[in-house]
Amino acid sequence: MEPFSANSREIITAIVRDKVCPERMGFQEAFWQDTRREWENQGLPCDKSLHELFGLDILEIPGNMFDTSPFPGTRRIVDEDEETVTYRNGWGAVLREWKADRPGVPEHIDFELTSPRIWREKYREPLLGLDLNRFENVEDLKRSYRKSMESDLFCVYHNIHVYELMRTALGDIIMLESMCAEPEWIHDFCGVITDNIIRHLSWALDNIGRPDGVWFYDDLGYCQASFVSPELYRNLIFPYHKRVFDVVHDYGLPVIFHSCGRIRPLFEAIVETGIDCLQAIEVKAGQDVLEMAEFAKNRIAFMGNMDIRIFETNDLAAVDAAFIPRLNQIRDKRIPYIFHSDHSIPKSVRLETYRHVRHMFLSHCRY
Amino acid sequence: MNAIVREIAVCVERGKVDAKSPHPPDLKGREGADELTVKALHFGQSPQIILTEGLIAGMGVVGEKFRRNEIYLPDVLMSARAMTAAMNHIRPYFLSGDVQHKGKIVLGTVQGDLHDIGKKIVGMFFEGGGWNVIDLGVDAGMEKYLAAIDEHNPEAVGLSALLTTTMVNMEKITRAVKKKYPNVKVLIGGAPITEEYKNKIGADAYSPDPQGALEFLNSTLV
Repeated sequence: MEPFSANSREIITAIVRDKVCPERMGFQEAFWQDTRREWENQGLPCDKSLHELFGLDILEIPGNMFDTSPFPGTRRIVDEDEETVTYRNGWGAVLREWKADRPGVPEHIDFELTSPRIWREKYREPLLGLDLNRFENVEDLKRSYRKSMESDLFCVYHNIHVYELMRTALGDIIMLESMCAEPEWIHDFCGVITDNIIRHLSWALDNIGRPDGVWFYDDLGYCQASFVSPELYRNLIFPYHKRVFDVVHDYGLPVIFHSCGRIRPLFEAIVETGIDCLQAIEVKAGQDVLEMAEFAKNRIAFMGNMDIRIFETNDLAAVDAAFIPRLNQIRDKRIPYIFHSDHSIPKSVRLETYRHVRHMFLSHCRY
Repeated sequence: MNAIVREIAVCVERGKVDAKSPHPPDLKGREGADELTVKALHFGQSPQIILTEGLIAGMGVVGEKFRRNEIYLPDVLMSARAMTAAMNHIRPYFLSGDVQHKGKIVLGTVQGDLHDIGKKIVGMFFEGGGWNVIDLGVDAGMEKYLAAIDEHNPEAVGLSALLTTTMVNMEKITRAVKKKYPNVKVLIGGAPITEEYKNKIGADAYSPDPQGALEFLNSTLV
């Protein structure tokens, strides 16, 4: 393997911001909370970061950005047992999730924010101003920012966006029904939340510092389809995605956008929001980076689309058979690309498998 | 088909809950599934006909459109809401025996998984298809399924899982159910599930969409 002359920041900047193919593809991954512990049992050194161990290119600047709920810091435990904890969040919603580092999505138990009236009377007003208490610890964030930026990694701020926030606040059922039954409320909700995100993100960019990019998470699809129709996305979500991304671009920074699921029906609109890179491009939801890149025509870069089910076979020959031709196709088509699974790595993937993936990548990542 | 019952089917299909509901915009101000069901019962329409030719027929169209990605979850949920509004008036007739469910199905998200929305939506389609749904909630283990089968004597059980790490629990539950209750059909579904996995664990049916699961129930057990 030949060494590469460009560092991670230069590689990812070229791919994500400039949409060009530098000397190699990028390499990045998300790991479930309990994967590292499992891998330590399999011989992973405990004293090094996954970035050091696997040469990941992108660093999410450690530390919480800002709490976007109306009543930040008011999360309270209402019940717990040996395995789970039930809590009320700053939106008055009661959710249950696994304790410790066990992965999974939370159970939706109860939601207080069920109508425009409750929104207006209790939750809207606290979201209207700049509130530095939303930042858990500004000094820690500044230290974390400085330390991160001293590295050669491509450093990002990260935050969820309006759709995920709406889901946290209203729950799936009320949110999706209200998109049909109360569209004015949804517009008002998204507008207020968007302004809130912009206010606090801008403050962070001005006062903490500018990273190399900003990474937003907003799951818009599940395995079979997008949650909402392309029309509904255009009408109710698109304007708010675009507003935030425009602000990030005004700071000269690129946007990485994460969504799970089958988002192909929304893809044209998502590209039009101005994202610079799409991640994670789930194979089991029928998403194909080659087809999407053909459609997008170098307007955006891509990260992901390596089928997690292949990783989970722990069959090294199967890994090679699936991923090497894929990397070769991506190289041949000159797609600005960052290697990543199509979601994240669970503990069922063995350390030996992931080490093999990294080795395989290094042998086939040169453009 | 009676005109009112046909209108109920349209209201369910379009997600028109009641006269106050602004959705869908082109039916604003018109009576919805709620009022029309009251009216139909008042005029002596058989609740079984209302259920079969109104609610089940309407939800059947919704299921087909949803399977073809012609409509999306918000539309489905509005239809389910309209169906529920009508069903609230039909429910007493289940108790009196004037209306019969097609059968019972026990549904749950398997142990280790707290994900709820997929199972809930499938349950709505089953209910809208005329099935009595017993919902075990989330994180349901083998003992919970077996106890529910013992208590409710269902024709089928449905297992849901979101994660590859939790779908493995389907195998344990499926094998236990098939061993103790060989006549109870086991349906599985969720993001990581495939037909191949269904065959591997010995389940009876897998469908990537709710309508397919409902069709399995109707064709196999009715």
